[in-house]
Amino acid sequence: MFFPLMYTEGLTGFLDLCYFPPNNWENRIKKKLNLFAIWPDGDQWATQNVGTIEYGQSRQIVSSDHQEKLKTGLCLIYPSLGILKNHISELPKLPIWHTRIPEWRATTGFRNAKAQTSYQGELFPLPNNASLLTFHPFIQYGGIENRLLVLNATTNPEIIESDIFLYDSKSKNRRGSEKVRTNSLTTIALDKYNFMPHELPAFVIPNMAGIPFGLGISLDGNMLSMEHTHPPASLVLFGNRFGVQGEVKKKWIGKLLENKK
Amino acid sequence: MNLQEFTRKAKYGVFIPKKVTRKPWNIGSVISDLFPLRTGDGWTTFFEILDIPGLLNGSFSDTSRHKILFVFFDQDGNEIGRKHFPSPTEPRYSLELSTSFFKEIDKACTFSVFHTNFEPLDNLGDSFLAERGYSGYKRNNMPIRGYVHGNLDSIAWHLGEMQMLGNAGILRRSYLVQHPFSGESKYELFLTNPCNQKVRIRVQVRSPKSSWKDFETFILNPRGCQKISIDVGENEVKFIRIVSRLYLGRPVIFRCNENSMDVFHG
Repeated sequence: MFFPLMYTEGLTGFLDLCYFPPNNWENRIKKKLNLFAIWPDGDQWATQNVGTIEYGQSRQIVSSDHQEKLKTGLCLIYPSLGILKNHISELPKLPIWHTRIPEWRATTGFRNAKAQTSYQGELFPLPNNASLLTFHPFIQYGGIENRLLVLNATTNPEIIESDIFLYDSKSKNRRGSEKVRTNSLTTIALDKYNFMPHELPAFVIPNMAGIPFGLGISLDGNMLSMEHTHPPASLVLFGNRFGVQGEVKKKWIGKLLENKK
Repeated sequence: MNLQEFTRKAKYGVFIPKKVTRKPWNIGSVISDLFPLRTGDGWTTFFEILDIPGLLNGSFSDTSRHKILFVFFDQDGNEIGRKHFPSPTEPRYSLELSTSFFKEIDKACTFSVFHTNFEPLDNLGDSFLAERGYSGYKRNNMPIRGYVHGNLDSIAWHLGEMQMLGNAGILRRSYLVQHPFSGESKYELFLTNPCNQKVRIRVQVRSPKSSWKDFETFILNPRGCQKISIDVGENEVKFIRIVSRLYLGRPVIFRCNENSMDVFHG
């Protein structure tokens, strides 16, 4: 389990990590922990101890203190009892905290001089052979800049570039494409695609998983807004949700990729 | 299985003996979260209406519209009223939840959204269609909305009947919000009760160097909602713990400053 420190242009990324469990029955570890920053560096992960955290406390880590680690927009924070080598070929597999109901989460997000926006999240490495389909109702209008952020981390450090295709979900017309990368936070400016208020953008990456966020920045700087969209499995509950997700993806991705107009 | 994992599983059996979310009794039920509603006092709530059956089908129908039912509840969980709404012809519709949509909205504290009368879906299997929704909250002096998705799978709907899906047990459980409440800010936490019994809630607060102190205690009815307001001074940090019999007492959190706002789920 990792916690993402993210960077997107013009804002400061922050990560507030709390060393107390979300519930009173799953986690019992109380020892002082090392906090390691881990970021992709060629064919290896580079690591650096960025401090310690005591039980019952919280630590804030900000992007402006770690710019050299954020060339891909993403640096993973990993709490560890032990010490990591300076370079590792795979992400550590041992999670230090074991909670499931709910998951152990950090508060992560962005801020500027006047505002901040947060979400509660954690990050498990995503599979290499996967796809992304998401519908994005977060574009806002009037004095706002809209960005799509795609967060990806895999076990292996190499950075692989893929295409993300942007569609109007009703007409299935393709509005454009951009590049996204593994082990990165990819920022995509959305306003140039001129999605209208009644249109529901659909984004597809055929060969890469990711966690998509909508980020809104008011042009006066007074407010930021960020939330992630659900994967298609969240359109249903119970039963074979991931079977349903597979069917939904097959239907949408097949139809969307046919249409290159 | 090592001893640590065995202990964790044994505790799991004690603290979470049933599922966090109950399965609806009736096949064909649809599910919704219980979304906090903020109207008046300089706030407006929007809900992003999406054609969920169309998303599941792989395309949006040009000819058939399904129905969307909004059900509004007051702070005590009493139903205030229902508003039927034909699914919009466009796949995204940002609905402003105001008196022009529902006259008695000023009395409401939460709402649920159920998609009904849609054409049969061939790919659902044993699954139930769910509205996990995106609510947009706007302070009226702010230029943009803060969005947050649904927080708890709360209510099933079937042929006019509602079933609460959350679970509560005998043991008290703590939910510690994994967020340092930092100032200078006014925090407002919205906590809902997704289960079918009254639940006593104790909210506790501590600073990084103090122990937990009771902050507020109240009884939450089924479908009820409570706003917990916490002021945090400049350079101050607080932590919040919610103690109840709820399996998951997780709030939606607003962090407000004089000129800005941040909303996120706990």
